Amino acid sequence: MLVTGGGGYIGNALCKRLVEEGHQLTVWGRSRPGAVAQAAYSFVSYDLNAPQLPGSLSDIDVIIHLAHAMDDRECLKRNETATEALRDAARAFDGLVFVYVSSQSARIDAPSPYGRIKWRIEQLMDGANEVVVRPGFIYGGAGKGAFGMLLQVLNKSPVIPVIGWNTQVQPLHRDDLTQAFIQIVETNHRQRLYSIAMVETVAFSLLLKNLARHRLGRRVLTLPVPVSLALAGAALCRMIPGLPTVPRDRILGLTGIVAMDTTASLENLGLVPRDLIAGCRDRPRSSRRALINEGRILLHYIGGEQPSTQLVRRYVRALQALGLSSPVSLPPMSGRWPMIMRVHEPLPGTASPLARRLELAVSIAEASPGGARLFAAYAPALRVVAMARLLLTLGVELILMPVRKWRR
Amino acid sequence: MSDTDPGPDVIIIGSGPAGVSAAWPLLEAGLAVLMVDQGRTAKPDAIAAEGGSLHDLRTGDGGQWKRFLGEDFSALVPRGLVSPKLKVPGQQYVFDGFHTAYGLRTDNFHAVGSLARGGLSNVWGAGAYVYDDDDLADFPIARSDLAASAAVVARRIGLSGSRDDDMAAFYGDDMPLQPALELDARAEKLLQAYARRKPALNTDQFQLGRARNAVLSQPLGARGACGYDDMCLWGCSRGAIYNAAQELVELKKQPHFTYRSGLLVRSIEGGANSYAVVCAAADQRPVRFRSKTVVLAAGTIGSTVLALRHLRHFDRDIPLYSNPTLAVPLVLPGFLGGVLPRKNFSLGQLGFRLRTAELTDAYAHGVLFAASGLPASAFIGQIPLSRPAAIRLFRALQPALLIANCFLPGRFSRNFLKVSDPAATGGVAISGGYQPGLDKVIKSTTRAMTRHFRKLGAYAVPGGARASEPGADIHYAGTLPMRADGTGSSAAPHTSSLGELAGSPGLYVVDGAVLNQVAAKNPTFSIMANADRIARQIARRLKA
Repeated sequence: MLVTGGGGYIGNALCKRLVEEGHQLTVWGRSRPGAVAQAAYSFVSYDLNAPQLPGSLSDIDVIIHLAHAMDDRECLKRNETATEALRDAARAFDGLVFVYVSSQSARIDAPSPYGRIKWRIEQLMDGANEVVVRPGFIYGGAGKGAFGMLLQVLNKSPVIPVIGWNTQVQPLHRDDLTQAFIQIVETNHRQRLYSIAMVETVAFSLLLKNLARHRLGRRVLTLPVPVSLALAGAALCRMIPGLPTVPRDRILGLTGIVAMDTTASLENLGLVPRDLIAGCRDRPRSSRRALINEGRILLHYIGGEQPSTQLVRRYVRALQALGLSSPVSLPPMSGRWPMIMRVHEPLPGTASPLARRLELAVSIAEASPGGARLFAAYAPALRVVAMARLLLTLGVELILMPVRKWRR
Repeated sequence: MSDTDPGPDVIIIGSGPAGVSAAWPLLEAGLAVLMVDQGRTAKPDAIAAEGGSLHDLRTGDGGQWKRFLGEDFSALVPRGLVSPKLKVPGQQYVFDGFHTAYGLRTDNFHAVGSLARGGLSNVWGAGAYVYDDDDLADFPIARSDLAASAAVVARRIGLSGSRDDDMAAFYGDDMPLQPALELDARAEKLLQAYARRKPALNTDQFQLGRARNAVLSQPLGARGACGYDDMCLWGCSRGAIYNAAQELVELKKQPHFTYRSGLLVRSIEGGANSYAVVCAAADQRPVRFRSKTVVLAAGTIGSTVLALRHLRHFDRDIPLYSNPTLAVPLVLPGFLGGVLPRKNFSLGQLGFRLRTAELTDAYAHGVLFAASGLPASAFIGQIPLSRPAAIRLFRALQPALLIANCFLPGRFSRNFLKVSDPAATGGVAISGGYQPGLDKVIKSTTRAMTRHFRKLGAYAVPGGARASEPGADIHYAGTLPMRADGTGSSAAPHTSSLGELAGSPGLYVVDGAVLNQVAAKNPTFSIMANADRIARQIARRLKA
């Protein structure tokens, strides 16, 4: 997998997810995805203005092209040239899937140059394995990029100017977009164009109020302002140091939005975007403690006894080295009685994040002196006893199997 | 090196088993040999192979996880169903950089190659057999053409095995052999059962005997004999398992031998007894060497890429053969719930040959391994039980387990390799697949194995058989087949019966690429014998 622009707001979350799913990941970008362990992917510095591609696509099956330069107008045009070059390089490889990330504002007559250039680049994507994704208004997750700016504004100002009298957006939580990418990569019946966002439109002011309230714990007032005034305000902000800068294009981008019908795309991917309040509620949190807890439970479950802290720490280190930094959900009582994992464990042959964690825990548990006692029959034992215990285990297994099946 | 410098007599590209086998006869003839390769070695901070057994390491060493999982936990990266030997953290350098170096892209093919010193022999299973006349049916050479070279190579690298059991003739009984290694108790029992029940068995269909390994049972030169540490997979501290890098140490002591590493050969320029080997150094700086004679021994994929680039044979698929493989775990009930041996040898214990109704004109060939040296985690994920139950089951099963790894003839594979013009994308594409009838052959082979071993008191684990993905066997061959001189069609790239690339006099290929077909035997030893044979002829020509 190749992700361009992997260091950005969407890129970070996408890269993290791809690594968690076990993909071999290459990132091209101006910056690294800070949320992902460096050992888990290979990074190549990539500048859209550079005349040549920074690397070969020979090992790549899927490209997700997120990189987009939006410093000035000249730069906007270069996006087109750079994307065309990448597309042409990709076309040299049969079966390589190219996913271009466009925008809801992409239209031939969009009021913003951003929307117009996105539309023009979309026209380049006319090959068999080329896919265009138009996400709605992306929010949620770590406060980076445009979303980070928005949070900053919401955090600083009690009154928030909202462009236009009744600007409507179709929100899309960042993690739902990530999920959409995963599905697009995996599906066998790929569409040419995906419009991905909540089905209903929401007033922009409502989105801001919810974000302020649920994410930041603040109440804010929104004040509708005409577009021209907003542009002037943004220009003023740029002049005063210390104030967040809002690019002109972002403001113009909000004005040209036409509602998209997302039902067909969501259905194709089997995706249900989370509702607005749930999406606004998420908060980046430290997961190390949760990982330690997870390691303790899984290693206890596998080894049948309290694991050493060394072993648990090794489990967490391994997860981090492999880029698996978010904890999996375990049944509430498993902290107390790890053995109830026996009922919760996914059926054999199921690929799930929990199955993967168990596999890792097994390998880590085995590679220790305690593991040698548990896994390897080096020590002489009474064979009758060993066989009786084995039969008992298998008996319990037989009884539990229907329960595990039913739980799915 | 200036353009007027005539250069060495011969340039050999690659330091794997084929390259070193070609080097010896040339040096013995007094020719100057330059060996060029990337020559990657283990990282300096890698855990060296230490003495001590697997048992001692596992039960006593708290830092064992570094060896088994890797300090960067590389063994835990998901890779699909591949042999455990491909995941050993200390061996990752053997495979590093290969795909990138050739711009390799694969489809349904598990491509493995090496830029390491000694090549893939760093990780081979050490099964060493010489192709017999049946195996050589499609070749322009016969067993007798290989006999002298096979004996030379066998003496050089040290083979252990038996000369007087049912597999001996099949493996080659006319070469020097060290005594066979001590058998594991399970393998011993199976072999005894075979001897006892032989009158009642159809030995035309099924034969069993000692495995033939390039593993020392007696010291040879600087290498020690097997100490039964069960560390074969994880790094033998005694050097008992043959590895071409061991011979490189000896080669470097020869006066007319030069070794240049850190170079990736990009192309062979020129033609007709005047070649320039163009390499890229680590800093991408080009380095050129000239010679009248160039020998390609970069491994089947590497040599094929270089030959096709030289011929400018671009964007056309050429066939690449490999062995479909099948692994079947066998249980000897008498050992169930027993004790795991503390001393053992974890490469091939026994070999067997099998004919079935679907395989009348050829055979399947398998090797039996003891399971004591393998990580339990490799099996536990495949047992359809909860993890704790699977661990308990495997603990009882492991002492009773032998793994039968069975190879089928390469003609059942259907892989293609294609090289693009370096001026364009320049990559290499390999697509893998199997011939349509293979499913049936695999089924009947599994059934036949199950039946024959059951008669010897070893039972196939139900649902335990696993067929591998195309290419996972790493026995690649047949891309530049040898053709009897004058019979080659002009379209497909090929070599003469001396491995000389058609249309390019003085450019030879000596590795798996020139094998016409890959029989159901690990081809490495036959490749080495063939490289020795070709090098002797080259020496004769150059001396004439």
